[in-house]
Amino acid sequence: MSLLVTERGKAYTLLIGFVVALAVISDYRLLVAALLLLSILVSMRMYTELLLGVLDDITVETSALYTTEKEPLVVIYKLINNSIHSLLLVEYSLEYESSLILVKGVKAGLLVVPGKASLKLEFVFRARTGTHWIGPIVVTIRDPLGLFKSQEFRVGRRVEVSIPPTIEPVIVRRLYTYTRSTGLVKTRSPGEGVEFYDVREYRPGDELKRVVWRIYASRSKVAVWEAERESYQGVLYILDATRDMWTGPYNQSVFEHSARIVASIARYAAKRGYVQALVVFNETEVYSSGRLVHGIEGFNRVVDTISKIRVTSIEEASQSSVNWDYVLRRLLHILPRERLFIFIFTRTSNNRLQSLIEVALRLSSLRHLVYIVVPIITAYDIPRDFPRSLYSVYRAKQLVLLREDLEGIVKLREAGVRVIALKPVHVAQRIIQLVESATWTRS
Amino acid sequence: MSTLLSEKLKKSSFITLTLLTLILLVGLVALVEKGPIMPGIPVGASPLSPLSLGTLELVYMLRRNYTVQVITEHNLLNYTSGLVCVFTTISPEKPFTLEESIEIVKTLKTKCLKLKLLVADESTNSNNILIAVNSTIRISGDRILFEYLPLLLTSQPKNYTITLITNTTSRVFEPGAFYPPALIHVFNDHTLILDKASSVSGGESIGYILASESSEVYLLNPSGIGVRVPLEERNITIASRELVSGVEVLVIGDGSLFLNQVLLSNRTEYRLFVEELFRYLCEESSKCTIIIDATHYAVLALSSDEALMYLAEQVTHGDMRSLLYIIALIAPILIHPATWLPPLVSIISSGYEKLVEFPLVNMLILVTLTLIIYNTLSQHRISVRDKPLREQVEEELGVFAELKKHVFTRTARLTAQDYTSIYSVLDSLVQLVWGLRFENPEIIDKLSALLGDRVRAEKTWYWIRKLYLKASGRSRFPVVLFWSRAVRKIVDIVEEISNKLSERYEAEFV
Repeated sequence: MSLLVTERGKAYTLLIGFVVALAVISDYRLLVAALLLLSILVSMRMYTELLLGVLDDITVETSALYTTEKEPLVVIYKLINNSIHSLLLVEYSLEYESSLILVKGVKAGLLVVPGKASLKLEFVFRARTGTHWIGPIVVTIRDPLGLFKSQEFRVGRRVEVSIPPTIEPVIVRRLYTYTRSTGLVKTRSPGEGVEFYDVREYRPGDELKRVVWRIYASRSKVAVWEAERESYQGVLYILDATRDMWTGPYNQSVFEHSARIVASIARYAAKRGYVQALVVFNETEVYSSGRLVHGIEGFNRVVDTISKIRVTSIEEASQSSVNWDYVLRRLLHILPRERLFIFIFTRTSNNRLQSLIEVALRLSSLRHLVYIVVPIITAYDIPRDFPRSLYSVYRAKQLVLLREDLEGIVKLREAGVRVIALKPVHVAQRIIQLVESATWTRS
Repeated sequence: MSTLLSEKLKKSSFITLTLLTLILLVGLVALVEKGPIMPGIPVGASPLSPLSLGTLELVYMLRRNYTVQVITEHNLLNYTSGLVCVFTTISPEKPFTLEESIEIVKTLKTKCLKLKLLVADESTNSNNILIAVNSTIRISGDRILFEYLPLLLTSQPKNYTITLITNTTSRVFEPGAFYPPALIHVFNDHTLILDKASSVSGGESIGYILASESSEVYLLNPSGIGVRVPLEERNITIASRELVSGVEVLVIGDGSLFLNQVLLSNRTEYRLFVEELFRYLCEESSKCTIIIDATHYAVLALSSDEALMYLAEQVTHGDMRSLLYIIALIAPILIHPATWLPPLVSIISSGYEKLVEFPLVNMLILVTLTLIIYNTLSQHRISVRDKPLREQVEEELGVFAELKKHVFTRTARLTAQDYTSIYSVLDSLVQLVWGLRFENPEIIDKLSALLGDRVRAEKTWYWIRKLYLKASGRSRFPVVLFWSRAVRKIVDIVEEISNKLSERYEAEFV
């Protein structure tokens, strides 16, 4: 049944029944009033039925515009009324993932679409890393007196967007400056690479494109430039995206910080020619970027894989937990024989501590260098709209919550697991320091 | 648009139950207005009558061997054909006029190769048709009364009484004992008891009354005057035949031989007689058309008193067939809304008027009527609350959402427990960095190095420890303390230490 009677409608019908009964029993002239009431009821129903018919003639075009989490996410629903009748005062409400924040547009209200016309509904969200869904639009029709109401219909399609994390240019720049200034990246020997090493005399077999024509012009000597053989490492990122990793202010959650750090490191590593891969998981899904790949492709794969993960709902989070065995199997599937740096971005709460220790030790036993990376939550920003007078209270409560993480870190260290627990701003630098200062290289 | 909506729209029906009920109601009123169809009852020896005095059984019996045509209108004769046609009339209620008789004969002569005429009548109603064929046979229209024994006088009148005026002028009361025995010759002789028979004159006699010396025969003329027949004249002719201009005429002065009640009785001689008679008339051929006249009988409308009286009379004779016939006739009238609806409405109306005189009943009727109308109008639709659509709620994830909410609503209060927790944070922090518990006095040196002020470091360390001991219940001092302020102060200290550690070690917790 597509049309429902509201409780108001039921009461109104009862009134009609009463007036008719009264007319039958006492005064037949009351039938006029009853007929008037009945005609209102019938006309309201006809009105609603007509709108239902018009709604059936509506076509909806859906589009989404987005790039990264820095840019707004724009979803547009265009409702085209193919009927000659207007769609009047239809109540609508946009469904979207509860973890998103709408910054522009009205998520629920009344809409009017004139006959043979269209209406564009634009919703702008603050984008955030991961896969998120928006839509469809739920609509319902009711008559002006609220006697009848249609069931809820869903119009338009659900849009799924996968938003990659942004690279922090400041962090990347700082990484270059840091590694260059400390000489961490220098292998001090010629070979394959991109950085300039030296100029030497031409030898048969050298590529013509390496000839430095400027020297030939000034000194009449054929010289070629040599690249510095770059040292490079294999890096594997394991990104925990379980629900509590999304804890924190919008775009400032542990996961989002971690995703940005990973993206920044991946960008640096791509430039440096490191091979890299990523595994990201939550309570229900595990995604892997595949085998370790160097260069910009490796970076792209890492970023794309991060964008696939979604925020699990409370129900999903409460009903299932991370299948660490499966995560480990996926890891072993892509792990090479060579020693890797493995960075596990997670939190150290009690519920996952034992699993973390087991995974870390298992991977370490395969000669890999495993680090648990814990961005410290108290270092996060206070929400902008937070009253200054309550700042200390909020801070105090945050510190109380921090205790569990800190205790976890202590336990991990006691179990012999390497832990990096830093403010997010320092994490990338620390990781690069570890990677670049490694004494062994791959050739 | 979703296909779901289209499906839902298709499901709605165009003819609702209410509309159907309304149509039925209008039809009912129309039926009442139109009234029931009143069936007619053929009276007398009509071939359409299944009653005991009808001759429908004769029609059925003849149809087994011959083509039988029951003529309800004269123009039906135009559709008659056959080698031999036997026009039969049995005790007509209405007299044949000469004009119509001539027309009948004329028509049949043109339609049939050979025409025969069977008249079985105790009245003079059929004489005109005999005249029409130029027959000399006539039916007298009198009544032959027969007595086997001398008349017995009785003082108990039963079924009927006949006033017999004899030359002795004596009154006779006798139940049904006047039926005369007769002998009719067709192929064979048939001895039959007649009913109300009339004498027949003219033609060749083929049937006469079987009288004996011990019996008496009376002739009762239509005016009711009875005359004892002398002994030598008692063999009165009751059946004759004659061949006139190729038309064979056979007349029997008693139509009762062909009635349903006779043919359906357990006596076979009548059936044998009738079969032989028609075999004779049809010349023992099945290619014979028997035309039975049904136009000379009255048809009474069932609603008329006359018809009802007639039927009642039949029923009182104990004729079950008639009773069933009446039921079959009356049932459609009784079922028809015109019969029962107006009285029903009248009863309901008068009952309702009496009921509404009581206020309580009045109220009950009002409520019941209200509910019935409400139920009809609402059509058992599911009712819903007219609430706005659910708006999507945006949530902050995790513990911070709850924390923020509590802080905003000012339900979060800082207590000694919070102090203890933050102390634990500080303890964990210094353990991570320096490997020492915060309670260890060596921490003062570390702190003074970090803060660059030994006095302040000492003061801070002592203050934190003192309040921690109170918070954990190991000390009562200081007596007066606002935990809110204390917690805020230790938060500032922890943050300052944390920031200093950050500056000094960059990666302070590694």
